[in-house]
Amino acid sequence: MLTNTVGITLFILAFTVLVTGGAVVVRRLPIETQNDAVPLYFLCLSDRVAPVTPNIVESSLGITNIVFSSETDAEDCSRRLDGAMAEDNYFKCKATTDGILRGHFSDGRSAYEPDLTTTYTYKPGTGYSTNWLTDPHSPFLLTLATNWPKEKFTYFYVQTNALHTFWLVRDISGKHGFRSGWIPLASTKFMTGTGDGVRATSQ
Amino acid sequence: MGRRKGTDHFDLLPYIAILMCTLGTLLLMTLSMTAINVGPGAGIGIVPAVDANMPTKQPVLIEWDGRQAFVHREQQREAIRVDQLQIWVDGKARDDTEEEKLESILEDLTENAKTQYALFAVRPSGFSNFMSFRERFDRRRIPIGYEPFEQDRPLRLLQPKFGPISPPEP
Repeated sequence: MLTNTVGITLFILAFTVLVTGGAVVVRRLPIETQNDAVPLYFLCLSDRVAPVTPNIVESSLGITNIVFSSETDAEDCSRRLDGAMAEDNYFKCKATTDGILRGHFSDGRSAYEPDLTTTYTYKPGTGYSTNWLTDPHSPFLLTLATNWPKEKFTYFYVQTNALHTFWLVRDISGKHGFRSGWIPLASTKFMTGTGDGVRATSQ
Repeated sequence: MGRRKGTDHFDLLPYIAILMCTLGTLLLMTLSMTAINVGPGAGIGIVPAVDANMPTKQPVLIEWDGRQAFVHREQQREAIRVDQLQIWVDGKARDDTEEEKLESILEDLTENAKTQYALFAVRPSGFSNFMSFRERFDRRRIPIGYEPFEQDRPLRLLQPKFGPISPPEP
């Protein structure tokens, strides 16, 4: 009987190896889409998520609009912004400008804006712990709760060691009806700006 | 010390012990193989999303590790070496042969942009230069999607559970 049991176990081993050898974790992957929704930015770290406030330097200087119909106004704004610094609880930011970008308003008038780059440097140890993300009182869930999924989508800067954090927060935001997008990030610094570059899109 | 008549027998205990050891070993192997294959050793099957608001397109899976693009086409995985420095300088691969391979894929995707899209699996080693690499696809207006994956996780594209792909209505 014992010999039979060994034989059966051998058979089970072979069966298990054959079946589990082809095991897959199925993932659904959307395609990148353009829409009018506004991104809610977050930085994903290995065990934390930090919210990214856009236009932080402009806000600190009281600048609410950087697109002008006058080139002189744009140049004045550019001078104010160049080298300006600001910070919040999670990031230190520095703005630099490099001339003026020219374009057109929708009505055909000329438009001018500073060629602005803002560098965000993460403050270590700040942000929301991933252990706390699903807590009903977590700031991440409160942020989602105070925004409307049709008007906003979540956009994540993802570090190389933060894949699981990204998958977690994307799942959470997806359960709250938000589309999401992401961009790979190889350091704790990243830049946003007005020039050519990658536009935040949802997938 | 003579043997007594009627008590001579074949002792099964060592035999049972060996069988029990074998059984235990086999059980351990079975559990280990299962744990490895279902856990960290499991491959990832990618199924393209079906969204009523979006035209369904057939993905062409491209793994990007920062130096090479592995293109999954017709049940094959073709490696294309794309030099990192050259991507940054002029967006082209250095080697002409490799460049031709990539160009052929770009042309193919451009021609079939209504029914296909490039689906990038971005490995952590490719994070630093992926956005530069994708520019080549953006310049040709090839629709793309991208997703991060662990460095060594095997990937394969599964067939989506929807009907044949047809171009969207104009």
